[in-house]
Amino acid sequence: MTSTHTTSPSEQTLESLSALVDGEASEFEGRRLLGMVSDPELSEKWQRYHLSGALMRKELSSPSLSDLSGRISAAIHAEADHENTGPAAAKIEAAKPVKSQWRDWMAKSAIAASVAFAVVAGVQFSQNGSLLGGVDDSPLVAAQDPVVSAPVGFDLPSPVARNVSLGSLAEPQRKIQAAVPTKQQFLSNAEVDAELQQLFLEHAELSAENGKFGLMPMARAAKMAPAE
Amino acid sequence: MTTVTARASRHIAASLLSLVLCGSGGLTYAAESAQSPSGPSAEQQLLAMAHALEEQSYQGTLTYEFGGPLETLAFERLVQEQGTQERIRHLSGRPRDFSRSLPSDYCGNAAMRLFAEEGNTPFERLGSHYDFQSVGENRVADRTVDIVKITPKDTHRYGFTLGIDRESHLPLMLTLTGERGQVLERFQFVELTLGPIEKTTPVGDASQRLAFTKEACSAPESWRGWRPQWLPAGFVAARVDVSDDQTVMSFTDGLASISIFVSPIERVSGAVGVVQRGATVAAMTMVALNQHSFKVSVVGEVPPAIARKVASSVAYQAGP
Repeated sequence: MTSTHTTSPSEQTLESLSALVDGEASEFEGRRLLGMVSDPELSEKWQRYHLSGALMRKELSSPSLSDLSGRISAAIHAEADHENTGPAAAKIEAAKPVKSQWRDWMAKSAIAASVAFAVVAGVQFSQNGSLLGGVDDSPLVAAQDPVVSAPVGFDLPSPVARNVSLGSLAEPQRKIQAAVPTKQQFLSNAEVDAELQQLFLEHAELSAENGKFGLMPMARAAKMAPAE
Repeated sequence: MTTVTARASRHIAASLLSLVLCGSGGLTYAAESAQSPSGPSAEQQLLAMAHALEEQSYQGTLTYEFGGPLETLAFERLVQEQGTQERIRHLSGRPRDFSRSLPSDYCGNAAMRLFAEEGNTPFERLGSHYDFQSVGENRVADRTVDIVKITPKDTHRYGFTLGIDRESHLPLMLTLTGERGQVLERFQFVELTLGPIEKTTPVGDASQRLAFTKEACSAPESWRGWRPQWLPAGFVAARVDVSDDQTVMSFTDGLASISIFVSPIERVSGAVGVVQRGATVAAMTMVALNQHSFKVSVVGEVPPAIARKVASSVAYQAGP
């Protein structure tokens, strides 16, 4: 909102960006865009488009929403209307996780395996998991982890396939939970490293406070030295 | 008052237990094969460990190994009438030094309650998610340890292998194992001294004091705001802190713990995805609420898919 328009991304880039949000970008576009999400302005647009896109897709069946810009402004209006329908209702509604057709896009693009700055866990889980503390038997689906780099000392977990059911994947109501792609090529920079170190430290402190083994979890608060 | 009484009865229970263990097993057990049916059961060993962890004073050096890297640490625990002091110090890598004091009427925390409940049915709740098995003996820090395997009953958590000191019942080795039995991380003492120790290294400014909070005595049942809609069965809330700039939630099943951090973000930035170090996994994602973006980070000793599933279930709940 506060970004200055000194170097506006090209019209084409913005179109590609919205296509990517809609899961319609070609492999090449996706690759190029992921490289550009480091641009703060574009990053902010990505976020806005992504949020709008999420709102839109709730109304994908509506035939009147065909023109892209129209769809976006409609979505923004819809979002504004939400806020006026009572704060509690709006909060609950908007609190639902952002959904997207991320997996489709993932399938289209083989970027994940080949590019160093590929992103983000596109994870599909059934969203009908039981409530807090309840018994869960919803199937887990194989994770698709395209992330290919991490700061020193952190590993990227290898995807473990289990309980994979093609049948369940094919179910149309199966939603894909997508995270917002972001400055992925920075996954090894100091900023992200600091963020991870802080997360692990805070978790270790909570584990020490709430866990069985006293201060032992603080052993996990190791600060990795830079690679030698 | 009730906590004091409960604690006193626990002390008695522990003394009885150690008598039982020494009488029935302690002396003769060493000569027997570890799988001997006459030895203490895995549950008995774990119960003895739970008490030792609360009541023993000890110090030692241990290693923490996660994947390739290895850290060495100094650990000390001093149990006195006025309370308990603990300190852990990294001896390798960047200097890190943590300590804390627990009052003598420490109520125990969520994991301690789940791990070994009071009463006649210890491990009842833990036992619905893990199997316990005594699998033999080994030697750690030049001491004989009994090996107890704790195997998860589902794929929502990791397994644990404990090496419990036969004399003191302290855990001298702890490994977390993945689904295929691979060791994800290992804590192992290399040297141990039992009993109260001379305070040769007073806790100074160098040591980061970790807070002890009374809230840990009673776990929150429900709260409004950010919370996961899904957690692996058996995980209960241990602590919830809600403020304007961050919501922090901590959950435990008695052995593993999951922390959830939710904070508003001005713009898309930082890491998104899943990383792992040792047995600890961090799953980071973002959610939208009323045109604002929030970063959701789930960190815990659980399989990556589980951390992700928890992260993607985090939502804002206006009511409890």
